[in-house]
Amino acid sequence: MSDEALRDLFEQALELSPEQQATFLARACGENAALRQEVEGLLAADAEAAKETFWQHSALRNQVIADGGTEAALGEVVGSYRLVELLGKGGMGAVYRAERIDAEFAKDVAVKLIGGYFHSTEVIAHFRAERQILANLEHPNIARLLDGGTREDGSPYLIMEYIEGVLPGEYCGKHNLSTDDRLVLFRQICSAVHFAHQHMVIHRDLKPANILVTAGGVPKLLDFGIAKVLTPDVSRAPAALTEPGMLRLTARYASPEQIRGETVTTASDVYSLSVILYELLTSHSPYGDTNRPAHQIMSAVCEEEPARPSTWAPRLKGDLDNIILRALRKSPSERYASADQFSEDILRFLEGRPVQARGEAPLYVAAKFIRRNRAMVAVAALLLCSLVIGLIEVTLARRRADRRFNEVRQLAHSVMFDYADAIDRLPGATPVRERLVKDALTYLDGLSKEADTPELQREIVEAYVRVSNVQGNEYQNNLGDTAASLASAKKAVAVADKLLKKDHSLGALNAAASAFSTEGSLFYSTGDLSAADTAYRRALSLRAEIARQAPTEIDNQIAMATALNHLGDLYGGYGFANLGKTAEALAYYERAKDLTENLVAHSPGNVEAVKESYEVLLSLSTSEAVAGRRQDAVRDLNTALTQIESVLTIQPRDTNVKVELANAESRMGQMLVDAREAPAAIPHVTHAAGLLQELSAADPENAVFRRGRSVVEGQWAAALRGAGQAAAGVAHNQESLQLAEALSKTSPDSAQYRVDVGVAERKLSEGFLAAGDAAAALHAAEQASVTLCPTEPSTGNPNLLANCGRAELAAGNAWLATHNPQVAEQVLRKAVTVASTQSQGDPQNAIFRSDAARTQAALAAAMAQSGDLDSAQAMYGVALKNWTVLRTSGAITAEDSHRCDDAASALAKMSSHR
Amino acid sequence: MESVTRWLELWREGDDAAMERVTALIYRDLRRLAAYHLKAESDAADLQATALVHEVYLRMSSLRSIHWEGRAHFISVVTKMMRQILVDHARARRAAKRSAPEASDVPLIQEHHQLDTLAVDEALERMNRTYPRCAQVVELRFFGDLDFGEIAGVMDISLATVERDWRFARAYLRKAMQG
Repeated sequence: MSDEALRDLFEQALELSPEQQATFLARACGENAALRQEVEGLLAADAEAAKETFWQHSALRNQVIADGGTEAALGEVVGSYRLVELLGKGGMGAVYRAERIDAEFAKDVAVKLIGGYFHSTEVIAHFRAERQILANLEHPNIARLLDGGTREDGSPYLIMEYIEGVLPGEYCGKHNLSTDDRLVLFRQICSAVHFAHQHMVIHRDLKPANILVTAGGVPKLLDFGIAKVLTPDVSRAPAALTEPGMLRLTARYASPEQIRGETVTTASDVYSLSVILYELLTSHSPYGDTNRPAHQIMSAVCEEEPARPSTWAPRLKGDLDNIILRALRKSPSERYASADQFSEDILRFLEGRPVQARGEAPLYVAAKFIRRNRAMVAVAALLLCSLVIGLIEVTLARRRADRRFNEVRQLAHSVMFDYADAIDRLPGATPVRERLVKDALTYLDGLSKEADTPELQREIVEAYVRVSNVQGNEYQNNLGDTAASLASAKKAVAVADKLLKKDHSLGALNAAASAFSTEGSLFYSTGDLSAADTAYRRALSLRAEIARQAPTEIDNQIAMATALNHLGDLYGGYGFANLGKTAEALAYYERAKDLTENLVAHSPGNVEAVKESYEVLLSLSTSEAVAGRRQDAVRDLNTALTQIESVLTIQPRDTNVKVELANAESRMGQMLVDAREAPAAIPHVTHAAGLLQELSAADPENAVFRRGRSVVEGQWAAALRGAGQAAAGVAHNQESLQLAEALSKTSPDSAQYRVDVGVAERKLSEGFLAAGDAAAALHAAEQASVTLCPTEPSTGNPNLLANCGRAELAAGNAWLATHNPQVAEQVLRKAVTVASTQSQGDPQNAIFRSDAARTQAALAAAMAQSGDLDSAQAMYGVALKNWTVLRTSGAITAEDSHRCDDAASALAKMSSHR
Repeated sequence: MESVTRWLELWREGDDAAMERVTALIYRDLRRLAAYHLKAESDAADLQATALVHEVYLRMSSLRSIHWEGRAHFISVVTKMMRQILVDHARARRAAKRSAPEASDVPLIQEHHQLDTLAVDEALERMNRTYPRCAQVVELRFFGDLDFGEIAGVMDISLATVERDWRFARAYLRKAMQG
């Protein structure tokens, strides 16, 4: 290839539109793929370069910019302000002090400009995002955004409150602040960060250089230049926000997850805050020598345990060591959950109350050791357990008031808590766990006899709850021993009852509440519903008492919503064993909803609150749908969807959240299909199918995902059918059936999977019928009947019977379509008997009533076709009566409403003919 | 500029005093060039520009043996000097950043590519082998900071050719710097 040819092609291609270019190059380069690639590369580079200001400047100019100059000059006017002083340069821009040109107001402002040759669209998008973020953040400790705009060259600028102040360290030094005063100052910074978190903003670049303290001692947070917005609608718009390429941070203050390029959460800001506090109190970095090269500091942040702050300043020994180190944990989940909790713990220290971070650091090291040395864990754990228990017993025997007793007790306590946690994550740890539980119970049973102080009793309650969870909590790795688990929970409740006689402090109430709710869920899983009811309600009333004492305690409010949600499930949760009281269930769910709604509104950044909220909404909307309150159901489901998506943007790898999203999308799809809004349902079911496919690909054996896929394929088919694409729908019915059959084959004993196969066959039949293939519809419906209808007389399972009835309805419809009204009539008569009996047995159940009406209308049609007009008229009348009941109570679906109208007009036609 | 040529002639013939005149003139021109960009910048930036120009001045002293061919040649020599100075400067900055005492405070910029003087310099070296004329256009524009009209005059080619050369060269360099 000649160099001139390359250049010629490039220049000729430049004259053409992108579409023409492709044709031109294909013709001009022929077989020479390398040449074509070369030209295309040049064209792409040309487009890139055209966007970059770098090429508009000389090397000298670029160098001056890179060295720290900017394109703006002092004296230049931006908006209505004249730049008078360069205050500083950041990663992407420079900040100037500026004064108003008309000098109407004497007050100076800070003007932030994009600097240098970083004028890419990405950076501009980022800058705009910062403006958007700041506009929503009005807080006494955050520098205020006053205005913003665009300069002549298209680059944006921000006008901000001008803060006259010094760096926090300098301020503390100059005023010779005591440790307590420094903590008070620091708590104000925490409050600014927490405020940002509540507005779904993560700062991501907290460091002293981004904080100025005014002469009045007020710290102000500056520079949200790389902040991240958590709400889905904002974070989606400028994609650049989350791009790792945009990551700029200062190694010393960055959290390990930021350095590793992992998901950044509010806990990352908590970490950076802790580094700031560490330096403020010790004048040292947690990672020693800060003059080390950046890569060494980065690996220290990720690998090295920070030196205890008291290493530098012995006065910090104890609580402050623990508080700071807790916020500096490598794993985000082990830090304080929020800047607010961090700040609260500091307040506890300032007020001389016991702090939460007490005594956990050595155990953290132990847990870390366990993770690193899995093979040794079993032996070590056994040794440590017996050692600790032994120590306790010896010490107990000696003197209980001894100070050492408290220390040992704390250690034992922590062993059970943190150690059990660490073991939890290990495969094959069951024997260790069993031994731990056994030893712990011996220890606790002994201790509870002697326990007479509220504090000790509280710890015992907490410990029994803990042991109970290890023994049989469904939601954790457990030993699967529900009976033993319930026994421990009962012990916890017994001690809690004693405790509550003397102590109604928050700690006592919290411990007791978790004892009751643990006991409640264990009663529930052993089927003792009325005992569960009592326990749940006691938990709820304790939570309410805590809420009265500490109305802002978010964790308690979340726990309260959980309690209400459990009660809702217990009273009438769809798909749960329940007391059959739908109205009460709805009332509980609605109370839970009020609570979480309020919670989310006031602390939108609290992920746990959002999670609780959508769980409540999912339960509620299902119950609303069952009760026929379709509009409410759709509204609540929509809110849940938005919330799940917002959590997924923060925790994109969380499988559980993805499953919830798929589940909610699929329900939304179903509701829309039922409402005859099938085209609107398609994106929802497509999304659900995509999510499940993704989950299933990552974990192919997982039965929940496989089952979900089959269900969603069926819904997809229904949505397509409703949207007038019946033939396309059939393909999805077939896919659904295949998935169900494969799953049933792997677990042939599962009755549920058999039912899934039958339902898929029945839906396939409906699909074929809509696509006009009556013969295939008949075949599929017959198969569904074989799969679903019991050969023996009914076992009384209402769900199975209902499914059998629907299969026969499908068969009847197929016989009708193949012009065999007599056979249809025969089949449908049987189906009508089943459906009517079911509906009469549970008259509140809208689904059963709908089944009955549909079957009756189908039978009427069959009768009419075979000429038995009297019977047909009567049967239509019965069907219409059922539908009218549904319509009057507002529980009718749009689909049924349509069928009802069809039946009415068929009846009217018949009457007029006679 | 005629005067520079004349002084250079004298200098080449052994008149050392002529060198002072030439460097004074060049100094003034380069200074004007830097000031043009820097407008009323902060003191620090001003100092950097001054230091830069001082380097040009020092280098001039070692140019005795070069045979001068008038204005065009002179400009291209000065441009080459500028290029050398800027490359040295950029290299020094990069080394300083690498071993800066507050290394941990240096932003960790993870860009896909780095647009900087050094990268242009290296890519330009490669380009010079296949497209020497384009490379010269870039050198005059990027390192010499001449506009297209001036470049056309110095190289004695048409303005359209300069513009076409620049467009092609820019794409070529951008692509080379990416890879």
